[in-house]
Amino acid sequence: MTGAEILVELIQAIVLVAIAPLMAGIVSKLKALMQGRRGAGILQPYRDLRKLLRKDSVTSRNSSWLFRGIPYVCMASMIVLAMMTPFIYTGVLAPYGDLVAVVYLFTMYRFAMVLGGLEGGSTFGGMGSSREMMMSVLIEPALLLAIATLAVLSGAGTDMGDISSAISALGLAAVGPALILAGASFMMTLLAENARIPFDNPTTHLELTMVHEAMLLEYSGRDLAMMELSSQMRLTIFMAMLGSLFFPWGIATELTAQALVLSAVVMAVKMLLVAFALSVVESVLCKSRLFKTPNLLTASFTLSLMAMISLYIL
Amino acid sequence: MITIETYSAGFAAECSGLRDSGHRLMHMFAEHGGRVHALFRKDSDVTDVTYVPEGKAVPLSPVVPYAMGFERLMAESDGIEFEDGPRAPLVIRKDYAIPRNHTVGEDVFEIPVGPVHAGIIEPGHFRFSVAGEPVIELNPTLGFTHRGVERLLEGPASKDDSRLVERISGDTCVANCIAYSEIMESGADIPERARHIRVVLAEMERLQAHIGAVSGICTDTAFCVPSAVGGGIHEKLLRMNVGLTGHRLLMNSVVPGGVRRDIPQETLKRLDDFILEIKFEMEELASVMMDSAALLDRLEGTGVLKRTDAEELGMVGPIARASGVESDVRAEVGYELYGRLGMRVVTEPKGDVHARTMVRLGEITESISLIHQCIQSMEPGETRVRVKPEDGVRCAVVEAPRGELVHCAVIRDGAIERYAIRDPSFMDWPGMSRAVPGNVVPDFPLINKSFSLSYSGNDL
Repeated sequence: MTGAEILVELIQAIVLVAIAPLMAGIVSKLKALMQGRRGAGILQPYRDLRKLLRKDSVTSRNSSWLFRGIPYVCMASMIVLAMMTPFIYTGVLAPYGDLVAVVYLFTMYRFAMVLGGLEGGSTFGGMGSSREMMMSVLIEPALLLAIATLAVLSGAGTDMGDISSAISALGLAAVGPALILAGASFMMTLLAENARIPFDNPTTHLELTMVHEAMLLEYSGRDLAMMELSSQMRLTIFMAMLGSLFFPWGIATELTAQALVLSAVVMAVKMLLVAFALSVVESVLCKSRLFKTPNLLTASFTLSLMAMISLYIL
Repeated sequence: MITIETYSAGFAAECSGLRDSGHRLMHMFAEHGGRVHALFRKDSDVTDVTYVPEGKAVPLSPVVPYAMGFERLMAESDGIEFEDGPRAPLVIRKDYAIPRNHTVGEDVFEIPVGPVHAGIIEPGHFRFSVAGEPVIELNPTLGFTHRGVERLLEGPASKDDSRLVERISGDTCVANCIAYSEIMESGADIPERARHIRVVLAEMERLQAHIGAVSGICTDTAFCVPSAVGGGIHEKLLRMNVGLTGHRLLMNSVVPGGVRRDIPQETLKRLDDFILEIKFEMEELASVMMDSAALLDRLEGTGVLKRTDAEELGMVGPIARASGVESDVRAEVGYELYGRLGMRVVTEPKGDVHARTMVRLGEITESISLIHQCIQSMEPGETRVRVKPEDGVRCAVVEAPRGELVHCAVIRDGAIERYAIRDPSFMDWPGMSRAVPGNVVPDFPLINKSFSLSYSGNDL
């Protein structure tokens, strides 16, 4: 690895972290426009984070050190993931992390958040945690299988950067049932993992219906800012993965200024397309019944399973 | 109103006789001297069964089970003691310990929710017993917003009283004020134009409540586009209200003797066009809602309230109608102008969230038709006359947006000696405990929204 390479990879990880609130802002702006509202500016999440960072944290008397430690665990796992995700350039800063590590870093984040929900000592946190675990059991295999399909398809091993460049090199030959099915499965996982409609309602104030938000209820101030930022990062990383692993064309596979600029532009368009798709889904659907979400997640798993099978039989 | 004067010994027999002949108990209260009134209604016949207890009062709950709510109020606020023992209080006091639920067992957890909630809603405490997600038992505890409205209304009638009545439950101010005015008018002749305007305002209030409730159903299921559209229509209505009366919630418009201000003919013409526009917009919203499989999946079969439960609890209004109880004060009593206007009582048989939404959507159309009929038949004239309350026991029944609203007053020497109000929410809250068990916890907010009850109306 050369110095220039490391520099580009570092910048790409920083950009991925820095644009996370922006992506959240764009999605809510698009949703507002679809509802005929003007909506808050796309920079609003930054202002919210600044506000929260200035505030003190209030914690429950019933909670322990674990509760205060969890925002750091969540932030750390997302930052590591940001370093492992190819975004503009196929090389990544943390090359030893392969797709299994990616899936389980997401799981680690979720596990930490679930513990935080229970640690807060409130009723709603416990409810949110139990619901999250129910979904988690079904999200994990679907996510693992969808990315594993890519590894098999590309034949490039399990490293994220290698998968990205191999599929990019395959060109149109890669577009087949496997890629499309795995992409569809990944999109459903994106909705479920990021607590979007129809799995959860990110804007509700009804504690009794919450899944993700219920676990954050007891956090405040700086801790809440970290939890919010890490969930925005999770959304952005998912969107980036959809763009750089499933439809990687345009991504820079070598270190030239021209390739990098082109890749940045293409990636920006892809991210906006994913944000648009996300807001369309969220505008036409409503939150499904809690006990119907496993059906949706099973469908997601079935899609990725079919993608994997299609690689061998077609 | 027919008055039946009886004694302790004959009270229960009189009441069960009325019940058997198809009368419904509307309200029960005690005067300060201890005289007990029980008001029954069958269509437009209101009967007042009254007696002065010799010692302890006779309980009516063995005859009409839902009278227990009234008896608890009487025991608490009037110090009435009942023969069969004490009654649990309803109003929250300092150091009041909210009782635990009855359901116990392994893996059964109790979830206490409230009285402080996220979002801007009124205070109420809900205690769920759950086994996993399904709810086994739910007990709402209300009484956090008791303000002593009834006592504040006692004494010589003052001009401020109608302002106070409007604030019993903020979104039911016209209905409350019509009921209060009917009592203070004591059957006097009110100008025709004033009656027309009252009906227009009452139906505008119903439109606003129902459209708010329907778009609330979309909000709570995260169906965001229809929710935003419904919110927009609701806001347009509120702005129209400003054009009609100068107040978004129509406060300060109905007064004893008529209405405070005439509505100019051109404003009424504008209103006529406006409600037609609302009608089309609501029809479109309803078709978007009812064509969405995702939304129907949430609404159908959720929070079923059986007809037998609704009748046993004496429930009223759109909620009872959605369970198949065909009862609407506007059609039955025909107060103000309703006897002369054509209207359909909207009912649905299933009793789930979907049925309650459909009843509200149907009533929106009916309200629009009523407003249109009123505007068409309106002629210029006086809008207010001087009135004086007559002595005696008076009772007014009105169909508020949430259902049958009862005001009663004992007037002596031109002053109010006792004023008793029964908000429709008081009858409908116990229905929650029947509709929610069997559903999962995340469906509770949706069921609660479909009931759309008032806390402050209940607590008074």
